[in-house]
Amino acid sequence: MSGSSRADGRTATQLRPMSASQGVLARADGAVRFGFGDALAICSVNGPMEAKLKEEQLDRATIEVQYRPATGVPGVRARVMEAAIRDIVEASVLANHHPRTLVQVTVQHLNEAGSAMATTLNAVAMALLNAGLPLRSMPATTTCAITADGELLIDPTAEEEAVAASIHTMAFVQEQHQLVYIESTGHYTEEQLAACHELCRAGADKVYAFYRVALEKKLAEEGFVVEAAA
Amino acid sequence: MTTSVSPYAFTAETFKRVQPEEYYRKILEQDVRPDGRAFDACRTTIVNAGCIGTAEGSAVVRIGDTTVVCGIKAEVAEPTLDQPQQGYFVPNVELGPLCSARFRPGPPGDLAQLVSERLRSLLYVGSSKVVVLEDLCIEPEQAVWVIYADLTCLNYDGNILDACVLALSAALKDTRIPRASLDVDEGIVRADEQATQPLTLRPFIFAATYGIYEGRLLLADPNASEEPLMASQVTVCLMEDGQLAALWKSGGGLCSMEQVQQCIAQARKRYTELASLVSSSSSN
Amino acid sequence: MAKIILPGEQVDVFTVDDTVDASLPVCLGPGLVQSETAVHAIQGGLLRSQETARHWWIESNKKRYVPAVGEPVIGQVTSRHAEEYRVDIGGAHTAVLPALAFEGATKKNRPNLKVGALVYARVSLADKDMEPELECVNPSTGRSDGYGELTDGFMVHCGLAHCLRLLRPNAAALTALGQHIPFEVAVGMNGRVWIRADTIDHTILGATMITRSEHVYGDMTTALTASTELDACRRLVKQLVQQL
Repeated sequence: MSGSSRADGRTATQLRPMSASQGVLARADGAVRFGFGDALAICSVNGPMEAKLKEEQLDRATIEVQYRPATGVPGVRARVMEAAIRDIVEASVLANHHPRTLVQVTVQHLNEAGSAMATTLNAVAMALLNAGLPLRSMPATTTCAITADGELLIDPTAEEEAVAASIHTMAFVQEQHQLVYIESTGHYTEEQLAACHELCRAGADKVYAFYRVALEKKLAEEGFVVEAAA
Repeated sequence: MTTSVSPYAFTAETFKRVQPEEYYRKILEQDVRPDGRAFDACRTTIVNAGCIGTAEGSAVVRIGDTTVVCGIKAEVAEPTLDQPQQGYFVPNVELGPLCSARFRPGPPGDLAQLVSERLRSLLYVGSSKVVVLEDLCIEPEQAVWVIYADLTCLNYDGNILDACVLALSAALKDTRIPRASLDVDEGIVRADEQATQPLTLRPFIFAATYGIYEGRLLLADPNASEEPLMASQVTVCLMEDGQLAALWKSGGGLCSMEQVQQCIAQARKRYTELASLVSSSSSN
Repeated sequence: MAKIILPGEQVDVFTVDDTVDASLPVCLGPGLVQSETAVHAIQGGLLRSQETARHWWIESNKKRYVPAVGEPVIGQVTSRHAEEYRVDIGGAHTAVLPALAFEGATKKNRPNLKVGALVYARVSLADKDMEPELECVNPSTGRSDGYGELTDGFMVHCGLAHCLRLLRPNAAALTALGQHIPFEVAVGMNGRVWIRADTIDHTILGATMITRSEHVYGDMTTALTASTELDACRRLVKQLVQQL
């Protein structure tokens, strides 16, 4: 892997600094603003709450997803985002723990600056944790782009995405690094896909480590006595 | 059928309705699927290009009972400001109540929008554009061709994405657009209906979808009754040069990279099948 | 001992050293589930254990209440029926409070709660597939044990972890407040706290103290101990009293 630096001074394998503000919305059960550098999305989660009679499912919680882009009205791209968010929620939430209830997931993109899907899906995972819903796992997502020269760049900015030959977004759970979601478009070989998989997986591990640090910070602020991380 | 059947035993049809998951599991244990296919077998696929005379290009595709018609229309429009030398391409998928009771009339539902967006990303992201958009330019900054691809599902029996990609590829191959030029004095575009030319196409893209059953079995080309039982689905879009154009894994289930690679390997075999179907389907 | 744990991570509850009686059954509390052979976390938080008793649980904070049997809650009556009241306790479903589940209630002599009234009650039935049920009486003694309608006073909302903290004996926020004003308080585990003091001014002071004390930990610069916590709460009350 080449160590050449990018327009923003990062190396090819370096994520933008991650940020998270937890519990940002006072009225929501769980709300997190997550960001990779300038790319920011806010996700709120409500539930388990009362479901409308026609939405009720007898053996599991109903999941309602809404996505709004940073600018303009939600279009077809928003539908793809919603489908991906639903995949992440279905993969992580133990819906059978709360039958006949509703879990509402709402995402508002704040600033689209590349890696939009990964930013969104990580905000969703953190908001689910923040809401205290019973979870099977915490999926971590990263995006990687392949430039026209065949160089792999993790967590691409909007400018890098615009000129990329292909863009790959992958969501992993920690257990054996299984895949939850892949969206991989462009023009690429199978070997390049495997290389992206490696890079995204390493990135997802960093995102997961960030989840832990963020949770530790939140618990300390709430007055839980936290042991220094070993 | 026989008198020896206890009145409390289910017939296969009742069993399927009452316990679809258990029914499916029991059949899969016999290494076969309910419709008699092997795990890696796709349904019978038929491609018929050039069936709509009034369109610039068209194709009807059947994968099992899933039927999709694709019509291509070309219209003249002004180019966008940031791409003055490029035409554009607008795919639209319609899944109406005509093809299945699961769809409601009205504006396109989530699935239709999802498939439209997937087709669009196949044609726009990266360098894999199927249509060479620069060739759709009539006069830079003045006039370009807009290619509308309207896909209508006539019968829905699962795996709509594969059917749509196949119909689109076959219809694009069948498309001929008139030679056109801009009359600068009058400011109108003149098209010669007699002298038509085919679109300049990049390598063909074909899609193959695999359902992952209980995280272990790969089932090719799942139909409508199988789709809800698959926790995850992997769609592989391949090009003629053996490279990938897109790969999607959706659904809340988990899968490993090895399974994704198995899907790609199976999709390569499927690609050859589909390519020969399309090349033998068109009349020109 | 405690460590940060995220959902999906395994917890080794079965390995024990000599100090623990290995014949004791393992007891899993909130946030932990057993699947086949391993124990997994299903919530993020602090993994706590009482190893000698083999008790394991996860401590965390959330806002949405999920009813559990035996927990005290504060509910608001949303409708009255012939045999029961419907009470909103902040969970996914409204709870049922039978009209006879009060101290000394009979068919002839039953309490009269209006729609909108606040009640302090105990969850008597909680199952994910059924509506929760409440009671304002201890069924074994027939006494109210302090449960019943809450009149006057003021109710505030806070995080579930804060409620748990207020329920502890000698809770810092309540101890500090008690050094300035006399008050009555009812703490529900569903994120609701009711308070009534001698005057309305003092009730508002108390209510503000309860909400503000939830966030006192974020500003603390010293290590959190019982005495630093109490000092922080005392400073907060003093500040609020001065503002009054």
